[in-house]
Amino acid sequence: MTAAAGFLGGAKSRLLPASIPFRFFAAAALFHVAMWVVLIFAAEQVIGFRGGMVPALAAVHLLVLGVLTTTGIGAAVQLMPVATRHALAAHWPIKLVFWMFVPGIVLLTASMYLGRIELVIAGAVASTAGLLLFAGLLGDNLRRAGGLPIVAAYGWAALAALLAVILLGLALSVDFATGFLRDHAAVVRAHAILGGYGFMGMLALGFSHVLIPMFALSSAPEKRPATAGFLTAAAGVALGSFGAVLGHPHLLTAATLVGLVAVGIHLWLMLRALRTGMRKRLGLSFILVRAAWVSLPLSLLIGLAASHDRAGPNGPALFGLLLLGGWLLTFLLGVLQRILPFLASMHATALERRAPPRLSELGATAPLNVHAICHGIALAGLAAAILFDAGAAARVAGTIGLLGALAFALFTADVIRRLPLVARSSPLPRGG
Amino acid sequence: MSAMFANRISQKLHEEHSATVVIMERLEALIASHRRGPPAGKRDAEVLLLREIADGVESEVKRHFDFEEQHLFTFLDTIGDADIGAHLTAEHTAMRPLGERLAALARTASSAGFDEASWNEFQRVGMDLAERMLMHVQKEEMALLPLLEDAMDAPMEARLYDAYAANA
Repeated sequence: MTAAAGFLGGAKSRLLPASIPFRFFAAAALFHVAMWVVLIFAAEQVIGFRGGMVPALAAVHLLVLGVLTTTGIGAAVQLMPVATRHALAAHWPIKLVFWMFVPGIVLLTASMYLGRIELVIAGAVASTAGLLLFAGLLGDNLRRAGGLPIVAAYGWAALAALLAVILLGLALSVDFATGFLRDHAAVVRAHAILGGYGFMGMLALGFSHVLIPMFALSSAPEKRPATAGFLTAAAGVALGSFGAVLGHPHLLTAATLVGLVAVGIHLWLMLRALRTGMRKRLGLSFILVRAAWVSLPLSLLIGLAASHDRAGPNGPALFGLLLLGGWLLTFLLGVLQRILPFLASMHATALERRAPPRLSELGATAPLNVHAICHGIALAGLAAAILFDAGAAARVAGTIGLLGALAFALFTADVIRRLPLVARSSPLPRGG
Repeated sequence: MSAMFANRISQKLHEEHSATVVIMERLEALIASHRRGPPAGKRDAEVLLLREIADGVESEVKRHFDFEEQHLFTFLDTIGDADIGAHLTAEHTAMRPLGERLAALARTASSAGFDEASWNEFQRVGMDLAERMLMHVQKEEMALLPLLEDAMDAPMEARLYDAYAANA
């Protein structure tokens, strides 16, 4: 049985109460708004950001932890039990993850913005506790994912990267107070590679093997190239992380080349799924997904150039924008706008004698159009602002991005609001 | 078309789904390209498309749905997997009247064209059906067909395939 089959094949028992995944998605939507607000206020720092305890660091962590990781946790706790066909033993640990992780991010990012180092450590500890509990839940579920070797392999790799990124993150936060690290910048680079390409990147690549064929109505990617894609991706992340920690440019170059091979295999598999899929008109969400697929190899190339000081003075910031904004955020928002109504529809059809709602009844489309336009303009504007070192332009781009984030938050709130309403108010059509 | 499923019933339903998705996407495209009013003339391509829509939708909501409900969902019920059949039957029930109405509108329009009122109804019913049908096919492709492949033994497959062929 395919991974997605579990959604229907007796999967009601593995479908979490709507409030559990949706609380993560709602929090992520709010962090998305907060990220753009902070970016507007810290625009000058963002365009030349290379690390350090400045407000731009808060914007980066609002994006990585607040938006990407929070959404990743919400999606993983719902998708993994369905995909592996093994229900979670209990719901309370996921709620506990939320209540440790989300307030932890608020504390961490607020203290980063304010430059309060002692509170940064407290926020890091709280969010780390939530992440470790999540890692335990994910690991327990992955142990039983025998039928999904590729997805499980990406999951294990993401988990390993998560543990490493937590360790380095804690070390960095303590180093702000004590200065015990010999090369803070090198650890920052490894932390960024492990977080962006390692944890979130491997999770995104792994879930793509389930989600893209599901949306396009195609068969799952073939095992051999998918395995090759995984092995090269994992090797690229490992090489890049060691290269960054050791400050070894040749290792970073090798990592980039291996990473480009991995990306080539992945994109070939994904485009093949689209080409052979029954559905050709995949809508707005796939415009975002395709844009993300363009950003992924670009991020590697700019990263390579930046590691050799060939990407201009703001090269590291451009690399970060392409990796976190262009690839991960754009991909995630493209996928999320399809998953949210689909997940809501699974909950809304629980009542008998009601016509199952249409997806368009579960979320307004206008905010998504506004979001997609604003998101595209904002990222392009930020890239231009970074290239031309123009703080004012970054602020304008940030304002447009904020409008887009508000539109996406409106869409998320609308899906949540309509969830119980649709179940109550959709009688069967005449004759049904 | 290369076979995606070893089970002949899953494969046949998969091929029917492919044809349905093509028709639904063409229906969506037709509606999207005439948002402000009915197609002006009776061009050969449009007439042909309307006939294909009428035939394709009728076949899907009658023969395909009926076969699934009468044979496949009852089989799943006997092996203790009733939930999926109940879920998909509820979707069939919502789509049947829409499909029948759309087929009737398309058949009439293929010979007499659309007026303002019939085009508005065709648009409304067509978009509703297309959205439901595409999601429904997605669920069956990802859940029902692999489940049949996993759960059905050879004698049962042969018996149900005969039933399918008798109605084809």
